[in-house]
Parts: sequence; structure tokens; C-alpha cells
Amino acid sequence: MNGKAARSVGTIFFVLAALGVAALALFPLLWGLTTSLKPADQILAYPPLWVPNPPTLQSFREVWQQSNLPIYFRNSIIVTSASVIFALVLSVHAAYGLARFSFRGKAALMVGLLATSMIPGVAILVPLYNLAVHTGLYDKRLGMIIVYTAWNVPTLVWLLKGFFESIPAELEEAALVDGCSRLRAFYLIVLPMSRPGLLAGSIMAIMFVWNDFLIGFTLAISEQRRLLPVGLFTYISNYGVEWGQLMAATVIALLPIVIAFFLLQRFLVQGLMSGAVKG
Amino acid sequence: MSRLIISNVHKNFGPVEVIRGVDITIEDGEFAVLVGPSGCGKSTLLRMIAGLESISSGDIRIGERRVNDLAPKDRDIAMVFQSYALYPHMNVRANMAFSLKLKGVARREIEQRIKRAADVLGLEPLLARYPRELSGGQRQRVAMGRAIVRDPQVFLFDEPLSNLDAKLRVAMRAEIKMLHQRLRTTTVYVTHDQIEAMTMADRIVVMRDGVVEQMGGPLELYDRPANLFVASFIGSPSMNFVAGRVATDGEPRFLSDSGLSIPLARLPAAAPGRKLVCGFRPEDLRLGEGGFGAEVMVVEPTGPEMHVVVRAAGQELTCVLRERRNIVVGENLPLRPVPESIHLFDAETGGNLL
Repeated sequence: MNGKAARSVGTIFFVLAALGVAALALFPLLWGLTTSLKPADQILAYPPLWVPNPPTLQSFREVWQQSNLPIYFRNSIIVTSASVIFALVLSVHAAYGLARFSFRGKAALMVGLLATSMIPGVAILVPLYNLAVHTGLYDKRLGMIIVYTAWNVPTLVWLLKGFFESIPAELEEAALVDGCSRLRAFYLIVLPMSRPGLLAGSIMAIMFVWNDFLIGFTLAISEQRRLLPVGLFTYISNYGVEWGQLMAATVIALLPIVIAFFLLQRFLVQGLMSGAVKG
Repeated sequence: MSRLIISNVHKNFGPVEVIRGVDITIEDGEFAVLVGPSGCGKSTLLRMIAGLESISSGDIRIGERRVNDLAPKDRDIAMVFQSYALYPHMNVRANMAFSLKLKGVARREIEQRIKRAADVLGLEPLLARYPRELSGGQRQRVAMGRAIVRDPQVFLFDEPLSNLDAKLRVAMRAEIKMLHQRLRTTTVYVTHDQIEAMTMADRIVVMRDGVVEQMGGPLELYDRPANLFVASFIGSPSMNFVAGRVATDGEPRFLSDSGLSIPLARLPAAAPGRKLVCGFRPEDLRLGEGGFGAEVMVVEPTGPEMHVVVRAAGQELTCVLRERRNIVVGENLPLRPVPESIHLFDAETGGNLL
């Protein structure tokens, strides 16, 4: 076999393998989507129906109009956007300081940040719960916002620091000579140039908060404060699983993330790359 | 008046002293070039003038103001960086307008100034482009445009030509010089390239190890180097050096340790008995009797002249010959340095004795 043929056989295997992995990842999603569009009597039909006949939005109507899903959705939007914005504001400044200035204890600080983000969430759930109860932040959106903000900061700082370091210092110096203060040079020159990094960081943070179950489950109890992932859980009751409604709610919950991801995926890859390898 | 006065300036990075007491006065409208080998402190000194490095001790004054404690933005200077440092997310027009906008200059005035600078530098067709769409020479020109729209008291250039290819560098050299002749703004220009220094400067400041070795006009430095370092640094190909002593009998001559005998025009007073270094420029080593014989090692024709590397008494010397003469490797040439152009340096202190 010559080199060219070997390469094309290799390519075929690679494509097949990629298709296999993709199918494995997509199958549950597709199954969820079809289930959400099935009339109630077809959901548990045997043999299973792959395509709903006829497709119906009945389950979507039920979860959106007759359950608390809109409340969960709203809570998730508020908590996610607030915590991601706070985390970004804190992290860009911290990351810039760490990237550009040398000071005593900087290395220790960086390691410390990394170490805190390595603690598994479950390990600190009980202390967090106690803290929330004692500070009056239990069952409040603010409590969840604070925890999610703190949770996101270390990762964002590490990501953004690499990003800021890759921006030549001469650009800032040019801005200083051109009439900027240090902070202004950061806002007018460094931040706009770091847009790919900021977008990559935000989408990672958004996905983390939007998808997280543990904190929302631990720090809020009432329907009015429930986040989406916790809300989805309520479709699994002691009396059975409302598959149609559960899947419809899941599809609704997935939509914002999928849309955001498709819009920003270009930046995500670029952001992770340039944070990792300089230049 | 925007005279730049640097008096007794020191700079320490931790325990290391990189600028050790520098005094320079650059007159209003003068083009001064700081030149020296890498690590001599020239870029640090420029950054101290710009305010990008703090001053450990001493004073820097621009015009009437002491600027030691002023932020870069308050010093009324413009700087062109080696990497050009154009803002990549702004087009050429926005790059040039940036400093003026920060200063709150009226929009119409900004437009006028940009237009004037663009005319001078031929940037008109590039104004809407982004830095990544420009060639190296164009970026260089935009960086200068960004500096001149500000009409500052002092221009600072930090090795602005070292990223350009050789041909473009020569062209930009002339362009910067013309620009200066037109604007007459006090300019400090840093380079490690002594040819750039020679061709552009009104005044050259040669630095080494954080101190000024010599200051003066290009030809003054070339013809009357204060010491061995300046003599060897300025000029290309560089000066020939031979170690030895002066002969104490009869006619004034220099006897090298290797055995060469070189006639001198006169003897420095303090010379007899001391260890000396005799220096003469390659173009002052001429064909002629009365000197010494030398074997030709390498011949390098450059067109207008010929660089010939010879070996005399075991020592390699370079001479630059203007006459067209067929010279072959291995040939023995009679050579003689022009006595009036010879320098004698103290071997220990390096000082020029003539």
C-alpha cells in the first residue's frame, strides 16, 4: 500500500470514529427532542417510535403555561447573568494586576487561586449552607449570585491572566505616552484587544452557572427561588416521571446555552488557545 | 523652548546600577542620537525621559519643567517604539486621533492635524486600514504619524528602524531626517547601529555601561574619539588597533609589540615608556613605502571601494582602498598609515593622548 492510500484509509477510519463519538453524544439529545414532541400516548410506546406522529407542542405548552418553569427560567437568567458579570468585573482587574505587576507573594496567590478552584463543590456545600443561613442569604438569589461569582473568579483569573500577558507591554506604554492613565490604558487598549478571551471566559462561566445543580439545590428551597436545573428535577416525582414535560423543559433549558455556544464558539477556541500558548 | 536637560541621572534595578550619573543637554530643535552596545543603558535612559521608568536620582527637565514626578501623559512627549506599538483594534485614522481625543481636542482640529500629518508622510490612502493590513514600512510611518499629530515638545525614538529590511531602513532614515528638518522638534533617537547614528544625528551620545563615553557631532566623534571604546565603536569597518610603545630615539615612530614600525606626525608629551595602543582608520591605511609590508588575506570589493584584510607581523588589519587596482590574495602590499590621522591611546585608561 502506498502512502497516499494509507492516508486515505486513515482518514476514513478517523471520520468513522468521529461520527461514532458524535452519535454517542447526540443520541440522548435527539431522543429528548423527539420525546418532547410526542403526543402522550406515544412516549412509552413499544416498539419505540423514532419520529413523533404527528409532532405536537403539547408538552411545551404544559410546562410553560401550567408549571413554574417560567419562574425557574427567569431565576436562572438573573443569577447567571449577575454572577457572570460580577465575576468578570472582579477577574479582569485581578488578572491584569497579576499579569502586569510583580509583588511579594504573587506566586503564592496564583497557586492559592488555583487550589481553591480544585476543591470539589460537594465538599463545601454544608459550610456554604450554614453560612447562607447565618447571613440571611438562604433562599435568596443574592446568596447564589455571590457563591457562583466566587466560584468562577479563580478560573477566569487564570484564563485572563494568560490572555493579558500575551498583549505586548509596548502597546500600553504607547497609550501611557499618548495620554492614558494606567487604568485607562487597560480599559481602552488591553480590554478591547482581549475580547476573544473575555468571550471565551464568559461562555465558560455562563455554562457552569446555568448547568449547575448543587448550589441552586442547596441554597434555595422555595419555588420562587428555584433555578432551572433544580426545577427540572421536580418533573421526576414520587409518582412517576413526566417524560414529555421533563424533555420539553430540558429542551427549553438547553436552548440559551446552545444558541450562545453557536454564536461564540469561534471565540471559545481562539480564547483557550491564545491563553495557553503565547502570541 | 524645549531644551531637554538630563542632570546626574542614576537608575538602579535592585542592586544593579544601570545608569550611573548621566549629564546630557539637548538643545531646542536638536536631533540627538543615543548609541551604544546592547545593555549600555540607552533604552533605559530614553524610557526614563518618557516616564516609563522611574528615576532613582538626578533630574530630567523638559523645557522649563522638571518632569521627574510627572506621568508620561503629562510630559508632552511622543514616542515611536521599536515594534511600532500601533493599536491593532483601531484603524490608522483612529490610531492617529487617539491621543488628541484623550486631550479633548475639537473634532475639526483633529481632522486637520491628521490630514497634515498624512500629507507629510503619504498616509492619505491608508487612513481607513488596520495595522495588520499594512507593510512594515507603512506601520513605521503610521507610528511616526501618530507622534507628529501631537506636536509635542520632544520626540523619542526607540530603535524604530531595526525591524525593517536593509533597503527600507536606509529610505526611512532619510525620511526621518527630512521630517526633523521640517518640524525642528527636539528629538532623542536610540539605536545600536552606529551608521544610523552617524547619518542622522546633529549630536551623538555614545554610552557604555550606564555612562556617557563621549558626546559630539558625528565627524567630531569619528575624527577625534575620546577613548578606545568610542574609536572602536564608531566607524565601519572599525578602526585598526596595534599595541606597543613609542620609539624614544630619533624620528617619532610607534613600535608595536609584534614588531611593526609606524611613523608618527608628532609625539604626545606623556607617551615615552608607557604602554600604548595605536589606532588608525582603514581608509587611512594607504599603499606606500616607509611603513610595513603586509600579506593580503581577503579582498572584498564593494564597488566604490575595496576592503582588504591583510596580515602584518602576525596581526590582522583592514584597509579600505579607493583606487582600482588588481589585488590578489597572498600578495605582499607595502602599507603606511597616514601619520596625521593616527591616534594613540593609553593602554590602561583607554584615553586618547593626541
